[in-house]
Amino acid sequence: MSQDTARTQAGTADDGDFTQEYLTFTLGPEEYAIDILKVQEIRGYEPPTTIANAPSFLKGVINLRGTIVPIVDLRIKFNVGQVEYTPFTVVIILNVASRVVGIVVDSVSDVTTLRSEQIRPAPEFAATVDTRYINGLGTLNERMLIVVDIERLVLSPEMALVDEAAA
Amino acid sequence: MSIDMSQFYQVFFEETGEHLDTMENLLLGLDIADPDAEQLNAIFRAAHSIKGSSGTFGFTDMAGVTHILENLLDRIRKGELALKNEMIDAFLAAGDVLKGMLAAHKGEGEADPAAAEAICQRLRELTHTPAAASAAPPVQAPAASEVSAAESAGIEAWFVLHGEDGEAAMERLLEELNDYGMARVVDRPAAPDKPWHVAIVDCVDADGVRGVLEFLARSDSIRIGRIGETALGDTADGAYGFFDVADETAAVSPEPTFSAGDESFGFFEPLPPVEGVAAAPTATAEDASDGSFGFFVDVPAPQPVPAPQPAAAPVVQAATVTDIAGPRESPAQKPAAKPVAAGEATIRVGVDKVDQLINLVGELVITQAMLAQSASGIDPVEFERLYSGLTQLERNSRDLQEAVMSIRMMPISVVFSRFPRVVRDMAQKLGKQIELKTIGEDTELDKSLIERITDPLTHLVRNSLDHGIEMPDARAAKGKQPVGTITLKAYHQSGNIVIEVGDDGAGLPRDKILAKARERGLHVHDQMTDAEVWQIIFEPGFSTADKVTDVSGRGVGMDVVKRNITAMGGRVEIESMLGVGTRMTVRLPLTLAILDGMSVAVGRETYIIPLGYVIESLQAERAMIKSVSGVERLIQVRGEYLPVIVLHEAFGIPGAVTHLDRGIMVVLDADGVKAALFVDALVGQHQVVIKSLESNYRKVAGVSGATIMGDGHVALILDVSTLVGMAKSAMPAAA
Repeated sequence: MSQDTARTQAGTADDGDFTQEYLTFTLGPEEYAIDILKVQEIRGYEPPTTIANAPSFLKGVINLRGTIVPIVDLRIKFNVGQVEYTPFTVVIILNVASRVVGIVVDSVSDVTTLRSEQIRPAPEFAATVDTRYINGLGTLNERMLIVVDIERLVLSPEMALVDEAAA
Repeated sequence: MSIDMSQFYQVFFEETGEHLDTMENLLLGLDIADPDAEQLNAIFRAAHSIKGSSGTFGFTDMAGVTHILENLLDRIRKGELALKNEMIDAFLAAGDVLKGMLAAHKGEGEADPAAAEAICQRLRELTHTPAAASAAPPVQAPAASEVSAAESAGIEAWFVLHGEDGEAAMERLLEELNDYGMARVVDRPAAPDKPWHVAIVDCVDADGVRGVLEFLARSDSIRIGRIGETALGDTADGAYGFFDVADETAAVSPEPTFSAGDESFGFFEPLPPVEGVAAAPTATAEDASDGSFGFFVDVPAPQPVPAPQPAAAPVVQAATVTDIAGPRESPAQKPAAKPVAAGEATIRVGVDKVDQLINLVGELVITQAMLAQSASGIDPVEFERLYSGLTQLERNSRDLQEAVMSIRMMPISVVFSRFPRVVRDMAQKLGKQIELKTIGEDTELDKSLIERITDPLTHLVRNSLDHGIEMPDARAAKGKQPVGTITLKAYHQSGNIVIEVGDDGAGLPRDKILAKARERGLHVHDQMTDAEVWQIIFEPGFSTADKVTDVSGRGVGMDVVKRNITAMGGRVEIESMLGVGTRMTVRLPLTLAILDGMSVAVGRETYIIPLGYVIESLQAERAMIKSVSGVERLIQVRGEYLPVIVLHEAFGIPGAVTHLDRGIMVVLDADGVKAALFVDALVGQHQVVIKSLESNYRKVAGVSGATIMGDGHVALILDVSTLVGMAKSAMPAAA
């Protein structure tokens, strides 16, 4: 029992035959999945305070109950979907490597359990998302889920969310 | 009743540390010529508490040193010995030894047994040398006033020692007993479980002797009687005769307070094996002990485990005067009297918890402001109850915010209290006579500042001591009092805390500083103002001292002082007059987390400029704006040409005012470099809570942090030094 729990929680998609829970969200027509354990909360979009000379996908910082949290718009970063901010625009607050970061997505779909055999390694292809940050492609009822290693992505130098020295 | 004592160690360490500090402070405050009895009692109480708890926790080395210290103190306190300067020195040194031992027990550093032995020896000498003089005749004759002839004859005791190694233990014991009188062994036991018979001539303190014995002997075996009295029953059958013994002891002990004095006895119980607790004379004591015995059994709370045994009578005295003790001393030393200390109780809480509290309260205030804003449109008559509820919410949340903020605040006396010792030690080393005055010790500031201000302040004080105050004869020659004065003063001034270190010494030698500065190749000239000249002493490596002492003179320090204080958002100013004295003024923000800021609007953004950098703000007229190479980059303010930093350009903010004569120029001074920052408008002045951008994001050029405004939005705090630097580097490019 405890072993099962441990596997469910600790297992990553490509090391064997066990399941893991993912939060799926959409960016334009594409569906992405991230490890649910990295998600702190989901909230509506509010205009952040912009930061000077920051890359365009960094929308700025917001006040999350006294904590200053940077907000990244993944639609700009991945160059997918219409970048517009409606009352339905959603921010997923992530807690990765003891940092709190918000990502803007079009909508959050649901929480899905994927078995490792449902995730296929992603083929090499040219995309704005570096395949290094893609754990694989999941299949769920004919839908394709892009399973993203969100921690690596957020901490990656190209996101410029972390000081070079700290990264 | 066996309790794992180690769970209380932390409490013991903290408390003993506090007791040691109290003791030191009190010692330094003593007037040698006419010591205040109350102060002596307070010192005694502190020492006694240390001894008691260290004994209880099994730190016998500390208990041993304190015991000897206490003996000397007790004699002084009773007026048997006159207080002398060397005694204070010895006490202070003993305090240091104890601190060393405490650190060693904590696992930090090593105790120095040699030092401990040396200080014990010194204390013993001090205790006995004059004692020998006064107590030489009395072996049979009536000695001191209240001591009757019969008592002066001495005490004999029977007891069974713990363990097998009787001879070694006995040696130590005799040494201890020698503090009470001339101790000698009358009868050695045939076997380890048979009692020793010891006589202590010229001793009246039966309780004290008992206390010593408790350390090493089985408590149920101890019997004490006066020499010459009929021996009590069969010496071998210890515990059985205890009723007799109890009576006997009561008779021996002239103080009527005997039983009350033994109140604390129960605390001591765990040390000896405890079967047969109701042993010997303690039976009476326990009955009178108003529950303190039970306290230890049932509630192993981390209370100041107070004093055990010896010299029990003084404890009573101490207990009765506790109430009169000054407010600062009292929490540290509620000795045996009540197990639960009334008065100032404190709890120790992690800083992160407090910070979280502050954050949450900040959120609450923002939510409240939001509610108030939404409710501002409603009809106050129709929604009267909602309205009054909101008003009350506002009041309550403000109060709550203030209260939460004050959790982090501590009085500066925490810092000041260490200086009497520093001054005393150094004055002695340097052969100077110095009086330290402290004013405004109750001034409160943030704990994080307290921790960081201690070192710079110590340095300033040492500096005043070494360079400021002259030698006594030099002072006399100048017609000053031979005793120099160093004044530490703290007060609040317009949202800052100001700490002054003043001395009435020689003052800073302007010529010498200038000469030294030239020698070192610094840019100086004779027309510099005094304030500018004084700032030179903050240059790294600068020293005017003719010789390097182990106190100061190497020229490291003042620059560090300045750097530390600047890092805290404060600044140092010097005022000095040759021959009259010097005053160093340190200005600090009340907390590290709060900043006085001016909020400015640029486009749709709001930025905070730390108020400390702002000199003035003005609306530029066309004529004031000068261009260089066709680019308007200079502004003439009061005859000075200042570079203009256009914030919306530097930060790429859309929708800002672009005409330099339409917006506002904020004149900034960053470490002596001036510049004008061009913004759209001034919004207001706030105290803002500084939040780190880096904890979740990264460093941003030109921004030192962020804060949350009243409406819940984030505003960035400008890093003025960087911005001014940006202006400098941008200028040639533009030209």
